[in-house]
Amino acid sequence: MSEQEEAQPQMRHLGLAPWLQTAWDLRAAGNFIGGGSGTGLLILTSAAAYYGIYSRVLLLAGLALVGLGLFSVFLEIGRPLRAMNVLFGGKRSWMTREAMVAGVLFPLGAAALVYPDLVKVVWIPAAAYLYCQARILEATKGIPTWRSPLILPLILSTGIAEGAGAFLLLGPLVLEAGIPEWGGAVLISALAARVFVWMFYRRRMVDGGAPVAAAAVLIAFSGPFTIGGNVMPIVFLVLAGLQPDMAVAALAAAGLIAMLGGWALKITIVTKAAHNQGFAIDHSPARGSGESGVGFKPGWREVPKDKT
Amino acid sequence: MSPAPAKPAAKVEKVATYCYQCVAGPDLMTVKVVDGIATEIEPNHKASGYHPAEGKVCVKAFGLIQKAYSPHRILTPMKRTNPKKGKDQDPGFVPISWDEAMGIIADKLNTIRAEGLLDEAGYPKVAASFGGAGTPTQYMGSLTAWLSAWGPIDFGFGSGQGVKCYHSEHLYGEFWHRGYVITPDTPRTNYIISCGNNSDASAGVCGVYRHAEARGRGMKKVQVEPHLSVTGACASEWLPIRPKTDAAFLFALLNVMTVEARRDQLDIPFLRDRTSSPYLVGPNGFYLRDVTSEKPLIWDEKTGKPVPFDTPGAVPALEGRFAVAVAMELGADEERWELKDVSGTTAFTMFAEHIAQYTPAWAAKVCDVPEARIRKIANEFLEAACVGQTIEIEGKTMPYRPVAVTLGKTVNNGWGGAECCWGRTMLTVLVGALEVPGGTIGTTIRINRPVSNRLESFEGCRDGFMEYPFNPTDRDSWKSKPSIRNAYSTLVPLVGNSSWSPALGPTQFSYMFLDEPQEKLPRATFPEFLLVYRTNPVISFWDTDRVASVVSRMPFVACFAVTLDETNHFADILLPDRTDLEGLQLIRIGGTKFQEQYWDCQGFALRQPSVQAQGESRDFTDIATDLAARTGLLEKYNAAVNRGSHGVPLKGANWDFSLPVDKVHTAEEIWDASCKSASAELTDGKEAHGLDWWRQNGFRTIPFPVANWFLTPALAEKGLRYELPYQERLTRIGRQLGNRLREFGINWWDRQLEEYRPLFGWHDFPKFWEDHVVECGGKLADFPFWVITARSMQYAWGSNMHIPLMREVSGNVKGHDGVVMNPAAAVKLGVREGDRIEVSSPIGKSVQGRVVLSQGIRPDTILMMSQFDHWATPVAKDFDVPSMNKLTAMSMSLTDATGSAADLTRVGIRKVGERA
Amino acid sequence: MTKWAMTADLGRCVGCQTCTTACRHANNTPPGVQYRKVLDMEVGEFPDVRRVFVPVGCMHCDEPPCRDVCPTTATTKRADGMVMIDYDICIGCGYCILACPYQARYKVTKPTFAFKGEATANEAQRFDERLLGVAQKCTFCVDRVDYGLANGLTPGVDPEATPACVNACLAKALTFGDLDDPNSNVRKLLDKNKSFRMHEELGTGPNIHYLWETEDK
Repeated sequence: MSEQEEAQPQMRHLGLAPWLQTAWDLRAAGNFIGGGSGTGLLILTSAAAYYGIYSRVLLLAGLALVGLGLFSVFLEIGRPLRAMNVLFGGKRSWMTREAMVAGVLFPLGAAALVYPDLVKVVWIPAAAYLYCQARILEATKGIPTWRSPLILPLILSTGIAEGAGAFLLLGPLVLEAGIPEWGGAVLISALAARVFVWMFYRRRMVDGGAPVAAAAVLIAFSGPFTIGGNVMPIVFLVLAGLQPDMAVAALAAAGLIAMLGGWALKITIVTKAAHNQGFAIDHSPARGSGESGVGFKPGWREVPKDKT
Repeated sequence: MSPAPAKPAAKVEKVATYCYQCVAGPDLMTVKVVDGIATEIEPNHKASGYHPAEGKVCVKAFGLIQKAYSPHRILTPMKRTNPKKGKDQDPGFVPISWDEAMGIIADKLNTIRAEGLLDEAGYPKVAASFGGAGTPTQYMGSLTAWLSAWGPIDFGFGSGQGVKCYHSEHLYGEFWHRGYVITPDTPRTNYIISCGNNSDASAGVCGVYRHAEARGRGMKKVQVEPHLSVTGACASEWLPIRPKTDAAFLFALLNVMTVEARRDQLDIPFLRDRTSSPYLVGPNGFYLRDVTSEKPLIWDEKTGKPVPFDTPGAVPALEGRFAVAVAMELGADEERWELKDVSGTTAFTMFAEHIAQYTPAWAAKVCDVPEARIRKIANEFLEAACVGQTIEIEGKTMPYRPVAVTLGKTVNNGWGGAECCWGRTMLTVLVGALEVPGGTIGTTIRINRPVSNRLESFEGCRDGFMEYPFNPTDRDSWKSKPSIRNAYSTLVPLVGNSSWSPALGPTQFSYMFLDEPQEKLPRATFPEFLLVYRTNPVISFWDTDRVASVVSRMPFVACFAVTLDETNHFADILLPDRTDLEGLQLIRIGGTKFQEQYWDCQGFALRQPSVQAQGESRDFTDIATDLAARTGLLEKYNAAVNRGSHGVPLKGANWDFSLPVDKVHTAEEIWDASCKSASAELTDGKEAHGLDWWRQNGFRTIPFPVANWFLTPALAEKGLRYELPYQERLTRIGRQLGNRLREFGINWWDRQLEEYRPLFGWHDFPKFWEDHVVECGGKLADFPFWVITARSMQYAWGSNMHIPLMREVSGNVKGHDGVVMNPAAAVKLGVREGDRIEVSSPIGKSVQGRVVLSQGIRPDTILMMSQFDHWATPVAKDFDVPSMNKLTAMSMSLTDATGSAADLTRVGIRKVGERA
Repeated sequence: MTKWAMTADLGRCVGCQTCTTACRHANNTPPGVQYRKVLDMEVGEFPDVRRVFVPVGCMHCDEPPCRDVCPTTATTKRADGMVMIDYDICIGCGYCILACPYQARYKVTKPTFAFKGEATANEAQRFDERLLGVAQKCTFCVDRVDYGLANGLTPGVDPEATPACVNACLAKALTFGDLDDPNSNVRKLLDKNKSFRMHEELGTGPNIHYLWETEDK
């Protein structure tokens, strides 16, 4: 029996309304988590190089996160021995492009471990990788919560927020001069952007952009995410500004929470609010000489208008 | 980039054969065989142009490959080792050889034969239970010849007949217009009123195909039923009627057409010349008759006198009351009235005055269908009837009346069924749409003969009607002593006495009377030997716990078995026959029969092995021959084969392929001779193709005239009339039956006698079931819902619950996973989709299942599709889906005059669990 | 040019699932993998309710999102419009399954059989290891169509060249043919009937056309 079939509701006729996709699970979410946080961290690490800050550990950590993400998704594919075929589809597929960018990112990152000056350009493949990830979701036409154009700024902003969070978390441990002041500013900006995009995204999904079941997941997630994942780290950042003696700890806490908030967001979007399109008809048919009728879109708020 | 075949260069064959798992067969199909393994079922496209649905194949046929290769199959004969028989007992079946199995069976039968075929009560010691609708005979090879050779057998242990069939239609339809099964002339009809007729699930490939074609050309169907079936889904309109009130709806339509419509909208010539409408009815309720010829009188408008109905040149008055100077009436038995100066009322006037009480306003309250809808439908029906128009078919000009009324199961069964049949038939009679192109037609006969052509099944009787083989009710020949346990020939005159009649009679009595002996009837005895094939009455009958209890007490049960099931759980011997894709048999196809099975050709089709026989399974014909040899009946058996008991007489006008009667013949020899004879029959003896030719070609036909689909022209040719609307013969027979029963001291059939009336009327039929709640000691308030059922196309008749593919694809159709309920009812009960509920009936039985919410059902009604609730059949026993069969009462008070009951009961519901 | 397409007449379909079973046979799909199936939809509220049977499957889209996301080029679109999967290239990443808004794609990772653990004779004979761990879906019975074209037959008219579901359809609800041929059966049906395509707003250009009412209404 197929994976989808096993995931179908026990009442089999209910498979009309959108149901939660089962093709990608936490392993796929892991790629977006590792990829987002990793590239975010690499972008900040790369930016820091312009301020004369260089840390092999941060560089390694960023690359490791991206690598872990890729390994995670490798575990999900059906034919792992053919994994390199992933490179064939560059003409159209953002997944191939992600893999190709990885092919630049890792050698460049490795080289930057030896040649510190190269760190200054690591942000380019890292940003490209992050962008590819956003486009991977956006190209998924079968999942309404992914295909929204707002998924792009959301994935990008959370990637930066997660990376900045990781930067604030790890920075005190590995940077001799401590965290640069702009670190907190980047995080606060990224968090603001993330929560701002989230509000629009959530509203659009709830207003008919997504199936009712997926919207319900987003609604349930929105409160904890907004408060816990975004407001709280901002509070900690403000606290760090007000109480210098607690700054290091507060920044680290803000970074950690911001990063975990992003991870929760991805787990939610990739594995929980990931209902498929379902089925719909524009019209009910006329049977014989009977009348035709309205359409039907089970599992969605809106009903398509009868075009007659 | 296309997917290459996984294993190329295989040897591929296409084997032509047939599927006849259900009454709507045969489907001519091919089986794709790759390297000796059957892999695909496909339509037989070569049958396009012969088969009414282009040789397409029903969804059920696609399950046959899994049936053949199922790991659950019984592949050797088995013997029971546990003498205790109970639901909770392990039968302890152990494999034995065919020789031992047949030896045990033959010993039993030979002992019976030596001691006498009837027991002390006069009942046959051997009984047989075969699946419904005659489908088992399409698979049992020459067993029919053995059955014929044996002698008396009780075929009355049914598998659902009377409730799961269209029982009232079978009897009244065949009585009124040789229509044992009644369908629209779908290729021509334009308007169908369907009261619960679920043809898109149960009329097979031809039904689906033809109704789709009809929709394509704009046919309108109004579906009247408590839940929205798949047929309702495909209808133009759905009227959710209150259960068991269809008769009121039909009567109200008749009312509109008779009282409100103009007379010239009706088919006056048809009523006047082809029905008994102008017959004059006398003061005692019987026809006024000519005192000399005793023929019924009509009022001749030309001469202004009463004359016998068949007076040449007479113009019968359709309506009115007329003074008749001298006449007579013939009543029941010796009743005879010599009359002078009486008033004779035409049967039509009697009808019109009778139907006047059933107004749409009245019916709306009874059946919960708005008055305006009733009126609209009646008027649409009138308009669509094209009264006065004709059509030419095969050079014959015939009336063209493209309107039809069809009835479904439950509408057609038990109390109220007769009224619906009469109402339906009268609707078509009023517009002359009975048995004419476009109208409502019968397709087959089972009580009259010859089965192959119903147009040849009648001559006229004295009163100008088709004669009918009633079971006698006169004093001299009424059968006070039943020939089999269900007493069909004693109690039900209409069921006749053909080979089908025993299984049509009140089949529930076969089970009931074993534990509930009825006064004055010989005490029912358990048959000493019960043979079961292609049926599972312990699941498919009603009050199934009771059936299980009876079967468990049968002294000896031999079952042909594909897998273990709930009936063969109680068997002593299991025999594995070669199943659908393994066996060999030639059957008749085409002509007119059953659901939408009216063809423009007729002939034969071969079922031949496409799958190598699995295990030790044996061809049914070889089993029958072996049984004949072991029971000393070889000569009689071979003689029956030569006569054609197995479907093809081996001798014809100028050919003779008869087999020597004293020899054992193999299945191939018997069917080779049958093939030769069939070829000869189709070519007037010119050709004699044997088995090899038929294996290559699969089927062969000759034309069957389409004009033969319609009875009315044949009736007209003989100058006969339909006995409608007035039921003089039935009234007389009913009274005579009442006299016989009273004389004999039987009063437990009194209520059934009330059904014999000259004009059918409304009785509060739902109340019959409500009263039954009280009869069982319950309170109606505790059983607030009706439960009904519906056929599943994926399962109906198929004995295929153990086939996973059927389970899988039926899941795409709502209702196969639980109890269908309206959300409004669910709110009242506090249950949600998927919650587990217990449904209890007044007989103290209950079943459990999950809630399936649907807007397509009345809030006072729940639906349990199909017949699930298996506990022994592999695969099916894990479904966890209930059946209403366990809940439905087997009771005298719910048995109607034809011996039928309905798939209907009141139920109570309680929640027992949350959605898993 | 040729553009293969299908019409599904919703006024004709009775939801019998004969197409589903015929497809299961023709394509030897494992239990639960239904390239073609018929949905049973209920529209409205009692007593104004309709029940509509909707055949679904791969729509062989003009702009197939499955093809666009495929990282391996296993999914391609032929010049005649058929969307194909090369099972020998597919890595089974599942991305196409998610990209398809018609839920038409399946992935089966381990051998599965009707009677659970045990393969029946026909299942054992037809078992195709290539289909494990990769995406699979309706092929429009491409092998039949190509065979037919190679042998001078007309897909959609000659049964040997026509998808199994169309051949099997009892109600003649399903029709297959060349949309670019003005005389093809599908073109004629589309001319005579009003039609819609599912989720057309997503821009996929699906090629199953649902007929719902005749043009003369």
